[in-house]
Amino acid sequence: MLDQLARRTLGAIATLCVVIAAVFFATRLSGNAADYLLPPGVDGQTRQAMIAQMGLDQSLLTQFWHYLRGLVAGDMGNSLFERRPVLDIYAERLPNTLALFACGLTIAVSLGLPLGLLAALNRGKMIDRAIMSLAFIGYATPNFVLAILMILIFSFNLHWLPSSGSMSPLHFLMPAIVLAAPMLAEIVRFTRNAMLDVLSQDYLRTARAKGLPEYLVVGKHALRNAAIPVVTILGLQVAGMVARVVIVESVFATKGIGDLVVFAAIGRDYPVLQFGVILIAGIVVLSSLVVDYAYAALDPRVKVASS
Amino acid sequence: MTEISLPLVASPVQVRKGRPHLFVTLWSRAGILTRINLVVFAAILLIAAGAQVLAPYNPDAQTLLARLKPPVGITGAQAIHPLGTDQLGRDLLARSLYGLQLTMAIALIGSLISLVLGTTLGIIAGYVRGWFGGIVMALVDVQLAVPFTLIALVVISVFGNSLPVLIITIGLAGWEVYARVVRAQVLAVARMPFVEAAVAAGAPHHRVLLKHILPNIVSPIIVVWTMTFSALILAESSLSFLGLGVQPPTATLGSMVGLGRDYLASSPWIALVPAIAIMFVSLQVLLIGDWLRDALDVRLK
Repeated sequence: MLDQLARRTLGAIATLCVVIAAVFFATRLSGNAADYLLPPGVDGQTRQAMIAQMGLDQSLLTQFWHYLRGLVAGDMGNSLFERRPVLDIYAERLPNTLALFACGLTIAVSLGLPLGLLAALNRGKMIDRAIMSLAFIGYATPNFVLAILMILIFSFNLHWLPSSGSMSPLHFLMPAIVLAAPMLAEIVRFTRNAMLDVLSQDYLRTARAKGLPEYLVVGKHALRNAAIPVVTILGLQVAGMVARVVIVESVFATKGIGDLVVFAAIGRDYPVLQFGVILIAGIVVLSSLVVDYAYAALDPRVKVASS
Repeated sequence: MTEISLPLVASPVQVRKGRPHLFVTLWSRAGILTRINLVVFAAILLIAAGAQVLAPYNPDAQTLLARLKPPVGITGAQAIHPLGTDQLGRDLLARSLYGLQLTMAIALIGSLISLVLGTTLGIIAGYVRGWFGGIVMALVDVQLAVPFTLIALVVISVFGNSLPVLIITIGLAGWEVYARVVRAQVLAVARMPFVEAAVAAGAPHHRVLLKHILPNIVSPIIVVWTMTFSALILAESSLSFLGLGVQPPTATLGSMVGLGRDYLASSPWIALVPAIAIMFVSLQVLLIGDWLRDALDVRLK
C-alpha cells in the first residue's frame, strides 16, 4: 500500500509540473509577450528598455527559468489590469472561494448521506423514487440554469436572498446551494448504491441474528462499510466542484478566484490567468491525493490486498 | 460430400439473418418510458436539423416595436411571437431553434473529435503499452487534474473566441474518458483466448485490432459517447453563458441565457426559454445514457 501511495504522490507532483510548464508555453503561444505585458502607448525606446528589463529579449528557456524561479519565490508578476502583485489579488479572493467551498461541501454531505440512506432503507417505495428522481434532475440541471432559477425565485419573487455580491453570509447561501447540487445528487446515488450492496451482506444478517437493535445494525455495521465508496466519489466530486466554482462565482458575482479567472481569460490578463490555473490544478491534485490517503486509512482491505 | 458442403455454404447467410441489428434489439427490449425518451430525442435532433424550415422568423431580425414581449399565456403577449421576444424584439422561438441547432452541431462535432482522438489513443495505449501507453495515461491524469472549464478558458483567451476554436476546445473535453475506458477494455479483450488464437494464427496487428478487438469494445464506446454528449452540451452552454463562446448576434442556447441574465428582473422569459430548453435536452441525453449503460451491460470503472 505504501508504495502505491508513494507512486500516487509522485504522479501528483509530475502532473503539477506538466500543468506549470503547459500554462507557461500556452500563454507564450499567443504571440509576442511584450504586446500584452507592456502598457499601451509607450514609445520605441522605452519599449526596448522595458523588454530588456523584463527579460523578454532572452530565449524562451531563460524566460521559463525566470518564471519557475518566480513561482518558487512567490512572485508571479503583476496583474495587467490592477497593476499590483498577482499573489495579493489571490490572497484577497481566496477566502471567499474557500468559504463557498466549505458551505457547498457541508450542504452536499449533510443532506446527501441521510437522503441516500433513507432511499436505500426504503428501497422501491415512493420515498425512494422521489429522492432518486430529484437526484437525477439535480444531476441533469446545468448549474447556471439552476442559478438563474434560484435568483428568479428567491431574489426577485420572494425577496429573501440577495442575487449577487459577496458582502454578507446571506450572499453565500445561493451560490453554495448551486455549487452543492450536482455533488449532492451524486452522493445520494452513491450512498444508496453502497448501502444496498452492504445491506445484502452476510455480516448484517449475523448482526441482526445476534439481536443487535436496528439502529446499531445500520449505524455501525452498514454505514461504516458503505462509507468507503462514498469517500471515493467525494474526492472525484471535489474536482468537479472546483470546475463549477468558476461558473457559479461569475453568475453570483462572488469575489472569489473563479470570478477572477474568468475575467482574466476574457481580458487576457495572463499573469492572473496563469496563476489561477496552477492554483486550481493544485487544489484538485491535492484533494484527490487526500482522498487516496483517506481511502487507505478507511479500508483495511486495501492494506491486506497489497501486502 | 455434397451433403456436408451444403450446410457449410448456407450457414453464413443464416448467421447474418439471425443476428438482428443492434438498435433493433435495443428497441425491442426498451420499456415504454425509454421509447418515449428515444422518440423525443430523435424529435429534438430533427427540430435542430430543420431550424431553417421551422423558424417563423430570421433569428437576428429585430422588431423594435415588439420588444420584450412575454410568451403566450402572460398578459401583453402577441400571438405572432409564441415564446415572446427579447430586448431587441427578436423572436425567441426562432432564436431558440437556431441556438439549439448550433448547440447540437457543436456538441456533435466536438464529441466526434474526442471520440476519435480518445479511442485511437486508448487503443494504442492498451495494445502497444510500453512508453507510449505510459505517456497517454500521464496525459489523462493531467487532463483529469485540470478542470475542463480552465483548459477552455486558457485556450480561448490565447486563440480568441471563434466557432472553430470553440468546437476544438469542446473536442478536447472528454477524450480522456474514452482513452481510459478504451485502454482498460483493450487490455481485457487482448487477453481473451480468441485474440490469442488470432495472434497465434499469424494475423497482422491491424487485423487483430479491427476484426477482433474493436467489435468487442463498441458497447462501452457507445455508452461513453452518450454520457459525454450531455457533458459536452453543458460545457458548450457554460462557456457560451460566460461570454466565451460564439460571437453575437449568433447565439447558442447558453449564450442566450447569458445575455438574458441582465433582464431577469423585468423579462425573465428571455433567459428562461433557452434555459429550459438546455435542461430538457440534457435530461433526455442523460436518460438515454443511463438506459444504454444498463441495456448494454457496461460497467465503467
